[in-house]
Amino acid sequence: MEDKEINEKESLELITQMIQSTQHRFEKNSGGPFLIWGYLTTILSFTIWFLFKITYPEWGSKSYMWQYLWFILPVVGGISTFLISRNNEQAIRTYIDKVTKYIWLVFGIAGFVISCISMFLWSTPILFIILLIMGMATTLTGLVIKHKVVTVCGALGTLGSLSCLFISGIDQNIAFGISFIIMMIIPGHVLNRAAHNQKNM
Amino acid sequence: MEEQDIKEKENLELIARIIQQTQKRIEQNFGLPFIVCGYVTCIISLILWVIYYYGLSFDSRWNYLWIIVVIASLVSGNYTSRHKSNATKTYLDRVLGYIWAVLGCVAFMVGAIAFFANIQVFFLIPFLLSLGVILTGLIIEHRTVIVCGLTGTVLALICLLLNDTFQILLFGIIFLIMMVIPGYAMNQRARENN
Amino acid sequence: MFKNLDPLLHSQLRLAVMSILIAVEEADFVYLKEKTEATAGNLSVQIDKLNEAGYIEVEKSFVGKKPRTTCRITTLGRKAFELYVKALKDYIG
Repeated sequence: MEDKEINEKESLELITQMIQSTQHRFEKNSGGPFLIWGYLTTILSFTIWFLFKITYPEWGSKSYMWQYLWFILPVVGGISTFLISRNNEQAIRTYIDKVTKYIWLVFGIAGFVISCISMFLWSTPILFIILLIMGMATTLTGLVIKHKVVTVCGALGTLGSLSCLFISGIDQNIAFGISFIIMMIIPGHVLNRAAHNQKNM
Repeated sequence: MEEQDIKEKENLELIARIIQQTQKRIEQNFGLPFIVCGYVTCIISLILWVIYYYGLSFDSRWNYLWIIVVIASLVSGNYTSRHKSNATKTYLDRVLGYIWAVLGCVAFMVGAIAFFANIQVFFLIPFLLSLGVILTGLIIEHRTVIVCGLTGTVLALICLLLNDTFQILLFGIIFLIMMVIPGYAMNQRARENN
Repeated sequence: MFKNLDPLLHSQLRLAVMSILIAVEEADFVYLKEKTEATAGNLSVQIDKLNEAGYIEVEKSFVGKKPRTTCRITTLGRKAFELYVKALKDYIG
């Protein structure tokens, strides 16, 4: 195209064409972050439970030290997410992208902050709270990108937080891990599968 | 020739739709539910605080007063969505609608659970809602809203450290800062834009 | 001839750029070049013109070592585009 004058009818055609070209986007790796955080959290959750159970007969309540392993989560998760986003430099950012980014920024930081506070300052039913926060974030993401599976999984995860209220002690980790499978791992795979299918259409 | 006309009409509709959807203006009365929810919560918090602090009653059924907050928020929210200035929805409207629908449900759920389990509800509810306020502020690019939301988050965390009676008081104050002020601020921005 | 059309927009490449930007939050130079099939030099010139008129804002940043130019439509640009489309509609009938 050049800097040339066009007539009115061509204008209309051109505008329509350009707008339409922005509307079809193939998300290469949209399930990525869900999978990273989902698997990391689930594996960590089950591992900590397992380690606790093994050492409890000997160490007693010192076994709660295994909880410090949770710090692997923000470190590894954060770095991986950062690396992935660098590889996925996007040419355009739509409104949906912007909103999704904000959602995870706000809820992610909040989750991290409340986790730190719960661990060092003032005890809270942290697994319940995290499931609540991440469940909301997932549900919102699903609604915004208009993907029903993500929305439903997010809602289920949010409801799953209740399980962490009614189970006490280290066994909460099991409910926590299972909730994350439903809330992050499943949507992650579904999103990647959908993107894959879209590309091959 | 007619086919050409239809095509043109379709194109114009598409363009108009995109222009409409990508508008960045917020609804006229968008701040109203925030203002109502904020004031009502604050008032009820004060009432309950007075009752418990001055030992007027130890009946925990006074907590049923909180239902008023739910009703007031729903009614004012309904009013805003029915008195919309524009028939079509922008991306903004849609997203903000989702945010507060989800937050509303979760806040209600947490509030209901509080009747059965001790979950530090005076910390949790403002904490969660403040996240919604911050998110709203980021999306509509309104600094005051973001700051009020952040303040709400910090104050909610402080709520964790207080004992029961004073928690209610701080709870009410948080709602003033995190709901009422952003509500007025957003309404003013809407007036300026429209 | 009835010509109420903004000359800044009534030009093929500039109109194409504005049409893309009205639909997205932001787009980078590479994307705009690909969609409009323009030459880099020409696109650069037109982007500058739109920027000077205040219709778009341009941000230059770096991704690692590579420079990246990102464009966004402004409120002024959005208004101008709306007026242009309205004029088109009136003209075409």
